[in-house]
Amino acid sequence: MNQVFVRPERCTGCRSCEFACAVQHSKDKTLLSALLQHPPPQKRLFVEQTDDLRMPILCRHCEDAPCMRACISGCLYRDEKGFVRRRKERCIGCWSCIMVCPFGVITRDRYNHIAVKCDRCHKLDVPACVNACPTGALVLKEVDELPKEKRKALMLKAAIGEV
Amino acid sequence: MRYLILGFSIAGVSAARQIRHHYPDAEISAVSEEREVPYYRPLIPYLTEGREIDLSFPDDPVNTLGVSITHGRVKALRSDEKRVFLEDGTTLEYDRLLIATGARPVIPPIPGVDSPGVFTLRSIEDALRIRKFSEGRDNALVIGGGLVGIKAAVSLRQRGMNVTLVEILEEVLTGRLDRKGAGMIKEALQKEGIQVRTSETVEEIYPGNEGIRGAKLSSGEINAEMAVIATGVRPSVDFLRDSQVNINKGILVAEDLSTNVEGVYAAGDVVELKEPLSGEHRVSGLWTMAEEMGRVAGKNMVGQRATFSGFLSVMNATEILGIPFISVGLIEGEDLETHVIEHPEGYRRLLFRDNSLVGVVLFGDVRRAGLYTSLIRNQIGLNALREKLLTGKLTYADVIGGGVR
Repeated sequence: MNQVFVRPERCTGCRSCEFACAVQHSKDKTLLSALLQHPPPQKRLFVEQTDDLRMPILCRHCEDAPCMRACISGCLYRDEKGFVRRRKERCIGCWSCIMVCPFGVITRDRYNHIAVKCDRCHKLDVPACVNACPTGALVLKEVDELPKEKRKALMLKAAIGEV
Repeated sequence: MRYLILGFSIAGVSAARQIRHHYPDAEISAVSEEREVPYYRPLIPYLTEGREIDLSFPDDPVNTLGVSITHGRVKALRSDEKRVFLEDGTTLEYDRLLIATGARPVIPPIPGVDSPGVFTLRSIEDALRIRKFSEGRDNALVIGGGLVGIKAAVSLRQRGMNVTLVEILEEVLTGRLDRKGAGMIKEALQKEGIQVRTSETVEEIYPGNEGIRGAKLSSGEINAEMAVIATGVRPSVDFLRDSQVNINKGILVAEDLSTNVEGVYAAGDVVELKEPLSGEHRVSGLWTMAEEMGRVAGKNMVGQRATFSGFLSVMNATEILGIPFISVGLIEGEDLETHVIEHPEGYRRLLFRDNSLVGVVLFGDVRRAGLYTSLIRNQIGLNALREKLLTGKLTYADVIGGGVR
């Protein structure tokens, strides 16, 4: 399974990912229709800032997902690709998932009265947010690929005596 | 190994999931009074209202987990023989037992409370009976202004009835919401056309020809053809009175959810546990807690080691008449540093003790509630995060970026 990884040091806070996310989740998936749509389409990831850090915060599709476990209506489920998704028709807007998501990335659709969350653009090979990121702050990787790279870098450092 | 689960709602189901995961061939059986189990119990007020709604678990746990269900009511447990007796005479044997019998409505001792036309709202059956009885009737009395009472009142109102909601305390939702929010919910209920009478008691219910004909409240008499009792629940432990299992209000358990009796575990609304934040023994009645407890109990029943920590008796998310709110942890307390921050959609109430957050009420805007919940449950030291909490700017970036690293 591949995962969206975040490299905060590369994030400039341009919010292209948020924009692309909203467009992707609009009716016609075009910029114009997204701008004209009412109610407006909602983004499912959030570029957040601290004093010394900027980064998109997005659903991790947790292996042991608190939102899924807290769901009292059978709405949230894990699909065959491993993504935590909604059966929209089942959501009753109780907000239990919002209460337990430690990342704070589930929001309310107040017009349809249902919870809104990342679906990892399950119909696309590359999620819209990753595709839109101009700096490589969002990257799509096989789960065990990134640690491998980091291990390699660390060994290299060790080899040249930096660690 | 034979695993027996008493009660097959969420605690029982999540235990069964663990057991099946570890032992594909284990014999798992369950006993339930309700034919429909498992189902999403919190949704039953929608049935009362008359909405088309599917309450079943989409993954069909009974069949996918291979649980054999016996319908009936448990009469007694003989732990020395490792046997459970049902009221219809059936005897079941086990090697490991999980008690997940949940809770039952408390019926207050009001004269006339046993009349036809007086209902509780705890099961699918209850909800459907209320819906059927309300047809062609105009006036309903709801006794109890907690979450169940309010949901019952709203659903009957949505069916077009005149509804009077009586609450003995000064505010509705005591213990689930602070006074400020409770006052705003009361106002919203009244705007919806529900008569909310707080600081009021029901002294007598008058039986009628079919159903009831009214009730005597402390302030006078009212007409009503039906009544819903929603004055809380208590753990279903009656069948354990002559057993060896230690009980207070609920079943007393260790942090691995074992009882004092070898091979016997308990989980869900039937359990009484010490709540670390308040230091008091509490019964939870919360779906999320029952799910976690079931999982922990299930793991321990198959010999894995797991502990249940961060028990909370308040961890509620809901929306009433368009007002969302989430309450977690200690929501009142004179000895707690309390801040109320108003905003256009409502307010945030934050309660601190020393360097940690111990409670929160997010009223009107519930964004990022899970961050607060995880700070409270894990009692994370706040340091620089405190300021962010007060300004409402706390995001997950702060959690990984500063303060608590």
